[in-house]
Amino acid sequence: MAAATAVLGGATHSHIEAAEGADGLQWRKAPCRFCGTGCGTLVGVKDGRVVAVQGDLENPVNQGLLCVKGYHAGVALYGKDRLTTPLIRKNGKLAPASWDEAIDAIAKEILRSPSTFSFYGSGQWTVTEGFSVMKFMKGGLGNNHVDPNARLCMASAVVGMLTTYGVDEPSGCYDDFDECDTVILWGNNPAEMHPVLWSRIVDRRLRGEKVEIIDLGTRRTRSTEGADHYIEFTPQGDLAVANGICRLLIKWNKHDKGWIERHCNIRQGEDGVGQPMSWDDYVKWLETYTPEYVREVAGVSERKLTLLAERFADPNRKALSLWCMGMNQHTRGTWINNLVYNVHFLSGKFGKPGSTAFSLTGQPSACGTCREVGTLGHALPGGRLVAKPEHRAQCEEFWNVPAGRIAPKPGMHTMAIFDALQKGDLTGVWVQVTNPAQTIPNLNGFTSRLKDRFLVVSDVYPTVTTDLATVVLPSALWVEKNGIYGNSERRTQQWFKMVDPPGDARDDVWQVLAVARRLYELGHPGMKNKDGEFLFTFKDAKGKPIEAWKWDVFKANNIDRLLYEEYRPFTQMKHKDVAPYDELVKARGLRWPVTKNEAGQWRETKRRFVEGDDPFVEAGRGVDFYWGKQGDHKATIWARPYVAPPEVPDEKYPFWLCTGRVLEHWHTGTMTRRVPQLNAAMPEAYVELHPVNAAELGINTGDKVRLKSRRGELLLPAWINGRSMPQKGMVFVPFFDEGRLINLVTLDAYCPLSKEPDYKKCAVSVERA
Amino acid sequence: MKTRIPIVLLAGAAALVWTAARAADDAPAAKPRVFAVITRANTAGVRPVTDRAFFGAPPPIRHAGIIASERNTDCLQCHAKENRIEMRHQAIAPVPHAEFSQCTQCHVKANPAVKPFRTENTFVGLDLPGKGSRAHSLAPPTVPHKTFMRGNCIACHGPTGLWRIKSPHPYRTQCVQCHAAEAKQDFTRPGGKGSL
Repeated sequence: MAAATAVLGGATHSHIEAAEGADGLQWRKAPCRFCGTGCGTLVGVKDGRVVAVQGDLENPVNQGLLCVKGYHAGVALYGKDRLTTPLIRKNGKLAPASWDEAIDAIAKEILRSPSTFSFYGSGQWTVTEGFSVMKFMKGGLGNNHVDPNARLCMASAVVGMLTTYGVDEPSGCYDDFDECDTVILWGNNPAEMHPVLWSRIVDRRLRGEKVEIIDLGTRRTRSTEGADHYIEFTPQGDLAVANGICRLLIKWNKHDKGWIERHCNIRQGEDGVGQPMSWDDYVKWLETYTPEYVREVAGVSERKLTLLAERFADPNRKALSLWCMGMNQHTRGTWINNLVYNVHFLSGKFGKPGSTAFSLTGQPSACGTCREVGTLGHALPGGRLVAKPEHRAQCEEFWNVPAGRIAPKPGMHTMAIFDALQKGDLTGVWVQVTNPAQTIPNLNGFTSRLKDRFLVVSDVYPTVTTDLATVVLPSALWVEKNGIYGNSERRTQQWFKMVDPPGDARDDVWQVLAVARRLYELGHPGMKNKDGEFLFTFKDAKGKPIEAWKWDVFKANNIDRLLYEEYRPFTQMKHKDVAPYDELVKARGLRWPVTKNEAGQWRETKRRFVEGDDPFVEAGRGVDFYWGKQGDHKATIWARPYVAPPEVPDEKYPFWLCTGRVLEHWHTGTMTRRVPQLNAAMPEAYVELHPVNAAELGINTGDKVRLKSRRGELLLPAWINGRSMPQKGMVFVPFFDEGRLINLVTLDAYCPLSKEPDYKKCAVSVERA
Repeated sequence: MKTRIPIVLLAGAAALVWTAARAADDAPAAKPRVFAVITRANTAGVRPVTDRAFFGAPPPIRHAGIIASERNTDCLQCHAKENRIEMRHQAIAPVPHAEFSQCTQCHVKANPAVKPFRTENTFVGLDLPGKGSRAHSLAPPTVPHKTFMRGNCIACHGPTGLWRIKSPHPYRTQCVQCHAAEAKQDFTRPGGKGSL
């Protein structure tokens, strides 16, 4: 037991699974409901209700600390207006209905037109929620139109990694945060968005360690407060800055020639494939990115560019790059991801403790569900592709469905789905765990016709999306169901149901199984597997079928475990082996690939592609990009140019608009705004202006301001010299407030490779209202 | 030397009041309450309406109306551990967990004027843990909660704390010499049950 504990990082205190305090209080582990950090919580339950949440000291992610959202995650379950019964729109109004009615209505609509139905999911889906929807849509209906809100969140990071080293998800892990000497924040504000990871870095200073933080941003934030250097760049200038650093490294002859030679190939082009490029051509190509050019397009001085490049030139310095939405929500999101890897590859600062390029993920299971399960139009579980016949065949075999069941044409991505719904090319969509009528950019152009389509929404509270729905299904939330999430550092974490969902609310997985079963009863041929059985056929240990579409049966069985074990073989297709369910139960999460060592013990992997840690690395390679696109075990250095953004401020719309989150609220605030403490701290959206601009326009804090773009307009109170300060000529608005929908104003342009929209830059006019 | 005698006398009197108060507490435990009903004298400004959601939740900043700053460093101007008990004739709770520096990631402003979003919340938070155990009536009580992030007892048990848990002898600084933390409250120890 002692040895096993060591292998699993000491995280086997399974006795707390049912630890009961003196007063009938039970504490059980669950990953936090909110961001992609994946903090471990212990949830206190008494008399069938959550009464407290504490940070889990045993979880290596957060080591006992939570942020204000995490501490209040339990309060978010108890808003008085929880949805507790299905609702169906009758005569224009949502009216209570039975589950049978609701499930029947959905099934009949799908049966009416299976190919024009779509599914829009979430990075807050549990692993098995995403997996069951994939099986239902792609393996059942033969319809690939499944995409998640993660498309709006981390698609650029995914395509960045795929084009760079051929397989998704980071090489490094949070341990690198403890060991780095310098952190470079690429348009990133972890002090508000990944607070516990930010503390993990900043609080090292309290212990006498030196950690330098360079904030490369367009707006001064709480993270700037903790930074040693703030380097401001003009929106989109990051492309030029990254290339400028690479040019200086080579100019100074400080690039790591051995590392580049062993581990990299070079390619050029605008797409995901590109053409080979020689080293000399690459060096010549970089000549554009002189300090003068970088100053011109990015507004970064030579002194500051040099400061950045010096951090990478110093062979003894361990450098960590962090980014999240600043680089991903970018019309050249894939390119800027590629370019940041370039900086780390050229300096050899990759795959070493403390030195890596680490993409932070926004949602709690964007990695575990959207990326690993692959709940994307073009993808199949385990990092495989719809477009490849052998991948489809393999997937059909795993699902035991007839050959040819999975349609060969990739499904639509998020923006295409909402465009098709707007135009009527798609007639229906089922939305789970997300709120598109608030979050899709340019709402007027993409969601104004949603109410005319067959819109099914599974949610826990009324939202602006449920307001438009044809059918609303009340869902179980967080510890009201069994679940599995995968966080930013490849850590898969499991939890058990702790309390009952309120009223007649039911698990999202069950909802999908029930509709699938109804379709089976109505005779849809896709709801049968190869043996003529129902698509979702589960059997207990004795081989007896489990009729999981019946709520009582579903509740009495751990369907999560069965679905997860069905999913697990998929992960072995691309060296993403996740741990068996029963190992997850014992651990505070395990980082994949999780494999058995010679002694037969399960071990996790801290750093991927690194010999001695990653079991799939060929001996003697040191670092092995075993899924490298060119089949040469190498990663790609990409020549990606600076290009101007699609919309820039002009005379009529002279300001940049940047949007984002705030510490207190999770995404659209549907859960966190119902927590009195969080709502009181951050009750409404505002617009931040630079004080110089505010003075010019005669705007004071609290004044009403009108923002106008080519797509829409919005009234907001101003906040000047508040929590953050945008650069001159920029305004910032958070998107959590359903009463002030900033996405009426934002731009719908997206990265041509990742299809991820740019919420960080468009042009607006600003005036005192 | 002269000034010490009255303090000890006062402390003795306080201890008597304390003991009497504790005796009254021996009544059967009431049902868990919504914490919003718990108020306390606030020394720094606006009287709070919102309070922490449950025992163990980070308390909100009660003086949001007075101090507009959003900066973590500003919190420590008054709440640094070294300031301990008083500053400018006001009792100020010192930081109980000096190992963390990012105050505002957990402590957010309590703004009593804000109306609930859409509707009320029915959450009922975990109440205070109750008393520690004592070997006899004069023995020092044990610590009935875990001590992670509670390294500086005076933060809650000092002059700014709830009167029921105020120390009668704040001038004694080595609390854990006499008040032992109960191992059963600590997950990380064998057999620990992990209360807050």
